[in-house]
Amino acid sequence: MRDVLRFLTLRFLWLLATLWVVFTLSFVLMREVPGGPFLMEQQVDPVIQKQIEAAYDLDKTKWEQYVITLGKTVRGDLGPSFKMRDYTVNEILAEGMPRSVALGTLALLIALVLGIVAGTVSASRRGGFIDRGLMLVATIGIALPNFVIASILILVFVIQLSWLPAAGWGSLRFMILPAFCLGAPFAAYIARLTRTGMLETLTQDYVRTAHAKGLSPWRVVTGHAMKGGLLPVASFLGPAVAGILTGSLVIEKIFAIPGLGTYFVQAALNRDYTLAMGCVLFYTLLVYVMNLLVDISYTILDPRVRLD
Amino acid sequence: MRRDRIRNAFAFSLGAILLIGAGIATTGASIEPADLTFHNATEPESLDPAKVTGVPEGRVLRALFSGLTVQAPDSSESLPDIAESWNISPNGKVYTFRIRKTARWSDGSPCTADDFVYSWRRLFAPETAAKYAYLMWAVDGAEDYTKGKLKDAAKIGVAAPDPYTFVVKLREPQSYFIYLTAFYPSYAVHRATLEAHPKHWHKPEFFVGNGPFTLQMRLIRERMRFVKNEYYWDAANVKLETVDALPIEDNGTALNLYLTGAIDWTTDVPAHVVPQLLQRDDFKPTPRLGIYFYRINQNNKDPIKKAFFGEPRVRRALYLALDRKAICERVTRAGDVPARHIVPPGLDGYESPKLPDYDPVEAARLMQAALSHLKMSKAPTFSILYNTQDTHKLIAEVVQSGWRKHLGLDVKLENMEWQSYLKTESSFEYDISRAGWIGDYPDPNTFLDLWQTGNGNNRTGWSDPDFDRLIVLASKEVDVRKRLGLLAKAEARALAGQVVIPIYFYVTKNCVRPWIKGWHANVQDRHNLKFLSIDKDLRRRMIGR
Amino acid sequence: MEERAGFQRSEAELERLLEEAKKVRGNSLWKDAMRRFRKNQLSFLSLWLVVLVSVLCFLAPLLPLAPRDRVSMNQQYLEPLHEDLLDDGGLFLRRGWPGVFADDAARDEAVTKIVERSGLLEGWMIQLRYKMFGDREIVPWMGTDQLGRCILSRVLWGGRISLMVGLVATLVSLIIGVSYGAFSGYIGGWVDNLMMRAVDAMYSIPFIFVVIFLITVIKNNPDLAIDRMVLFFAVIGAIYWLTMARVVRGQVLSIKQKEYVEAARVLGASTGRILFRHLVPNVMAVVLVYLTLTIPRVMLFEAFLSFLGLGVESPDVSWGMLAADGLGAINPLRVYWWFVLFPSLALGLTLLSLNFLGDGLRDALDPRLKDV
Repeated sequence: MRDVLRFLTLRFLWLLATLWVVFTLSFVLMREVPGGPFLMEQQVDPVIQKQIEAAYDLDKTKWEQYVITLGKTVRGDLGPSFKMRDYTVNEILAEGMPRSVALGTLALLIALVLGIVAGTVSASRRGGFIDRGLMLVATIGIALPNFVIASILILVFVIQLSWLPAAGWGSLRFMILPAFCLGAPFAAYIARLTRTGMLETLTQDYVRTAHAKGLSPWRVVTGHAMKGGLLPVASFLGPAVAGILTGSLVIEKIFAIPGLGTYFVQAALNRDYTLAMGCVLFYTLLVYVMNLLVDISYTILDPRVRLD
Repeated sequence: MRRDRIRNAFAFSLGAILLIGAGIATTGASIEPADLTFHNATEPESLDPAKVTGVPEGRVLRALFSGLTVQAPDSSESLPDIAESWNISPNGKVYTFRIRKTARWSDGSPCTADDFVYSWRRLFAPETAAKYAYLMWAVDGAEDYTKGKLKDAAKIGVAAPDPYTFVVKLREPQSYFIYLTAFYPSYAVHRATLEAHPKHWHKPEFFVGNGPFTLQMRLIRERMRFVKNEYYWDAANVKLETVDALPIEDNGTALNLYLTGAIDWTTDVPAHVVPQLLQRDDFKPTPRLGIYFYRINQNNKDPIKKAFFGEPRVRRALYLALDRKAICERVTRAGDVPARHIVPPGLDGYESPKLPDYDPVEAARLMQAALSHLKMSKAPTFSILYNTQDTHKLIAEVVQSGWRKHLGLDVKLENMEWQSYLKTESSFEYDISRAGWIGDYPDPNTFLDLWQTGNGNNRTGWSDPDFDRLIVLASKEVDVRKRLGLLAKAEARALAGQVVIPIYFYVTKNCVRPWIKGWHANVQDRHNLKFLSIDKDLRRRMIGR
Repeated sequence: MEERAGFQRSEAELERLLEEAKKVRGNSLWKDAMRRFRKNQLSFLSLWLVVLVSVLCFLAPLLPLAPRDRVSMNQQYLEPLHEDLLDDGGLFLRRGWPGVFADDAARDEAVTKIVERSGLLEGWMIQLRYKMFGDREIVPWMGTDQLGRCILSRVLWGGRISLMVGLVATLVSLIIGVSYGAFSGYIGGWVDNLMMRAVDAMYSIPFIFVVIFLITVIKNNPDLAIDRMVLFFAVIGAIYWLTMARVVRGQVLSIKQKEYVEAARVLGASTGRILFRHLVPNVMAVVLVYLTLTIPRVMLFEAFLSFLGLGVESPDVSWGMLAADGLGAINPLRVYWWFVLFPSLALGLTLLSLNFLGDGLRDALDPRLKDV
């Protein structure tokens, strides 16, 4: 138990260091990119421009800005958004997060269920017709841009069949199409990785032993091979979960979903420094936690790997 | 043993995460649709009328606030709103507004002249940093106050001799000033709420406005719901009970929602479907006060390009070799008007001088003449800068191909995201750049004064003392006809100097369902929700909702 | 002096022997793999398809295609095999479009201009194309887009960019990712920890800022003769090696305690040798599969960047950009299916083949799997 505690403490310290590095790098990058948050097509009088910048501390030197922003961030205050000026970044993230989590969870469920089932079936029917068919579908899931898939699904399920709403946010009905589009490429990856991993483990001695013991193929696959076979999937899941939970700009745009995905890109394009920083830090945290879970899951799935 | 425990904990936490997520996923419930739902292109930057400049913000602010006057639904005329009447002194410098005794804020308190005095002073205050403050700088002392030269707010030319009289003193007459009193920067805000909740007054739980509607719900980038303001002085004539504004960025998505009956009014449509939409009754593009044009950098950092673009014949040749008609008919296809001048048509009493029409042969001749005059064997390679958008790209590709074909120019395209584009343009690092300009008020001046030397919106480096003089003369002229005459002369100068390359005048692109009554096209494309109503029977018959 | 020279000689000798030994073993390994690979018909077919597509796209400047960026306002939105396209018969060569060139001199001038705009090899190929075919062109039987440009030509030219981006960027990510991941996983301990935390940190750096930053830095520095494509490779490769590194590290972690690695270590093999002779070849199967997954992602990422306006510039086109531009063409009122179908088909087919190719290679290189 003490081992685990030590491991977690160490990881926490690493997290703090990572956050600081990411903060600093992002800060420098953002300020070096041309353009600014209050540059507009309709140019305002230089006097007013200066006043706006002063209101957001942008008139100070970069060092002063860095110290001020870092201080506020440490206290958990990400500051006001530069482009949605009625809100603070904390409010924007807090409002977007449940939506992204809801959509992301649904997408993840779809991806995991479809991916693992397809991958396992395909591995145990290696080379057969089912294998080829499933892998073909999975590959198409990877090969087509998600906006093409989304447009086709809208055309079929919304316009032709009128089963689902075209876009927007509200009940579960609104989430089905976007969650599917969001999860589809992940499902395809998971299917392929599962298949590969399963094939690898199916040739291992302990699996052969299980076969030899006379266990049914189903028991062999789910009871013995599955654990080792899911290793590559677990490795992939860390970044995948972070990616799926933060959503996608394209999907959010097509389905008009007010989630976090748009901010990641839009804040950068708008030079909304505070919101962009909030997104980056949030994402760092998410990736970090997910990878931690992956590392822990490694020790569970593969007894040879130790927590260290 | 220990591993088992970890494994269990892991499985448990993973399961818990999934369950919680699924829980959130299923709890969201659809809300009852509003009487009217419309497509507002983006999440408003703010609900503070002093701090915003955009079109989507305008749609929202016109519902939540009222000005002294309100723009008529079908023209640019100013109708009484919070001010029941007004008069203008003979020298055109003093406006006296009579505030309605029945004007109320949405919390029931009276809306008086003092509110306007407070709000206008706030608009001009340096710490407000209002981007649109300059529009109202005709008010005596306002400019000096914003710029910090005048410290005492009481010296700004606004006063409330009694709660129902609001007096504005201008430093010089401004014929279009009355239009500005219907424009959102001049709206009044509720002082008590602002002072009690300086950071949160625009949230639904605190919001107090004096408009026909008030804010019931605001979900970031999801929905804004307005409900009728029972205290509004004209509440008896406001027909809609609830209105939803959906901030939908993609107009293709908005069109899908419109066609499936989820929204009743879209404010923009994708270019691909314009020909199909034109066959419908609910899509009627009408002229709009706006122009699409190309800026030419005449202050180029590269000396060769500076000489090249500084030569008026080069600029004229570029203009002549650009097939505006083809762009309107083949690319935008919504009936946009090919532009041969700068001020859009549709302004009463103003007639623009015109440039010659598309003429590639003459263009080639001019370009040859210019090149030999400049002693250049060939024109420099240059690029057209545009911000990322389908239509901009298509137009740039057409222009590029035309200039290549008719003038033999080597033209590159340079695509940038919005902020880089703005930065490149305003720092004169471009050659040719696409641009648009929407009139702030219905007067030629809003399309002309930006070309004055040193104006922050000029951004071409073009400078003509005669032009500058004409604009100043016009701003001091009280007689309407003489003033418009001076402006027309100024425009003729700008055209003769080919300050920019006009391409086309915008049209509005609204899709409006027939059950929306009281909706009228107007050149500023401003539609106050106060005038709209819904024919529910018709809607039920058509889509069953 | 003498001694050192002698030492060097013997070292060179050793090297040569080692080389020879490698060649002998390498040959037989690859021969084996080739033999197995050939037996897998689907993969073999895929290989040929990928080669065919690559060659076609590479040769696009040589083919008698309409210029990819030529706007023809009287040919807008024409369906594939539309009668306006076929009116004077034949799917193939016909003299250039009516009204494109006034006379031969005008045509020659236009060609010179095009050549001037193009790169060295490309320009040469275009010149050759006009020498061979004159202004005869293949009819745009895939239809035309909203500016009347030939979709066939755009798809083929687009493939050049897409394939190049996919290939080069993936190779960059492969080289960095595999070395990094294998090293990290093998060394373990605090080094591994540090290296993986560095990867975590880099995951969170907003790539979009990096891209905008690099593009502007390079734009403002005309002396740096780096064009946007090279930048693209670097940026995309630099982003995608992260996942590769994690995947490889995970694999290495699980095999580094195997007997043969232990044996090599006991025998005193250097870290580099263990890494690249024993560990990397054994994770190649997973890496190959991951590679076939990365190429599509890279190509789609390129489309995403184009979508944001940070991608390829006109007149260059790419499959992803064509599909993204065609997005608006799928709408409830009128579906211009050919805008999206052909680029998607090209992209999909290529990626599909790449996948089967990856599977085949994997099976060929890792014979154990054949037992199942």
